[in-house]
Amino acid sequence: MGVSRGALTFTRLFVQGKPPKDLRKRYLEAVRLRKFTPLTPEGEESEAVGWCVIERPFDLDFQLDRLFYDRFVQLGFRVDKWKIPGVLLRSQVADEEQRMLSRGRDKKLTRAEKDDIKLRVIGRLRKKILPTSRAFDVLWDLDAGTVLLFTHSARATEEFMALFETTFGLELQVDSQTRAGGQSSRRRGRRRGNRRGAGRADRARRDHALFGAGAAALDLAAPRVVQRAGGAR
Amino acid sequence: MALGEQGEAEVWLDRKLTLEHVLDRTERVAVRGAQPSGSPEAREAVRNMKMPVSARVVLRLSEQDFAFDLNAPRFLIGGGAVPALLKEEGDDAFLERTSLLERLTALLDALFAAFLRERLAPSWAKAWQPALVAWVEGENVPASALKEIAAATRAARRAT
Repeated sequence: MGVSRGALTFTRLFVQGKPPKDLRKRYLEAVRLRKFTPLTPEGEESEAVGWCVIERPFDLDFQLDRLFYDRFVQLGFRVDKWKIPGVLLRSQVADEEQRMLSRGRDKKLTRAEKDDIKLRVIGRLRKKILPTSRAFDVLWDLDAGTVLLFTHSARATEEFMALFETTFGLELQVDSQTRAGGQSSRRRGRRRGNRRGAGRADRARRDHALFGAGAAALDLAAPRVVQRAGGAR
Repeated sequence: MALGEQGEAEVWLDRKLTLEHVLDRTERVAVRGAQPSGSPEAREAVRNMKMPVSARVVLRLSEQDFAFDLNAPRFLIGGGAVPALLKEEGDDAFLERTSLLERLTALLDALFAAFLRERLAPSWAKAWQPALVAWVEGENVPASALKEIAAATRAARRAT
């Protein structure tokens, strides 16, 4: 699933502000600076995020023609994590603790000793396994000011927004009914040349805040309707 | 349905519909089938204060079908399907797909705008609200409500 094939699953984000005029060179440098850096068993991080070439998670060689296409900036957002199976970790830690106890005179290990054992075991296991890698396509339409991130994961979206803002110096806003409502209302307000539309959008926002998105979508949360439906039962 | 600049579209809910309780989000009903919104399970769920939170939406515009799973609380599109590409591969295919993608998001915006127009119009209380209540109660939609809905639909068409 991504930009070029498969079903389309994405999160739409809106860029706040305008990109600079000389963006090509500047953005290429910025992306290279924050390209993905692989995890190492010796490192302390349990997760790493960074840019990769779109649809090529292991390709970190950025060139202008790979980054820019037509009016788009195209990137891959790569997330690597160490995922040590819990059962394996627990059994190895238990073995190590047993060894420590049999060697020493103490009957119990302190909290600090236990933590130390766990860290050592994690370090040892990291040399034997590979981190899990995921990469999500990113398509930034420079003209429209929208970014499509091809995942629904809230955590990945949050991490993506932070990396995007650090790289390009522009903030992102996640798509929502409030934004869509406001946009639609502003358009109507402009057409009518008054502020009535904006007031209505505020009402929709209030409904959404009070009853939730599902209720706002069908407006069945209006007290009168709920009361009647309940009363019939 | 009139979708402004996007033109006229046939819109329906297809294959799946999920309803969630307004107070307890863990109480959920998932309805699957050809016409989930017409099922007795969906009606019963609404009677029990469960509101739609996600659905498969299909839009047909000039014999082109766009479909997507709408996650209403997060306003997200998932499992989106766009009409088949004319170009098979290469740069043209990429641009064609991105333009269809753009159309898909524009359709969602237009659909939401159309909903807001209905929801915020004075006819809502006179037309849609009694119609929804009748549906929930399993009764026939009052003729006066149907008349109002038809008038509102005609007005929306004229406005576009």
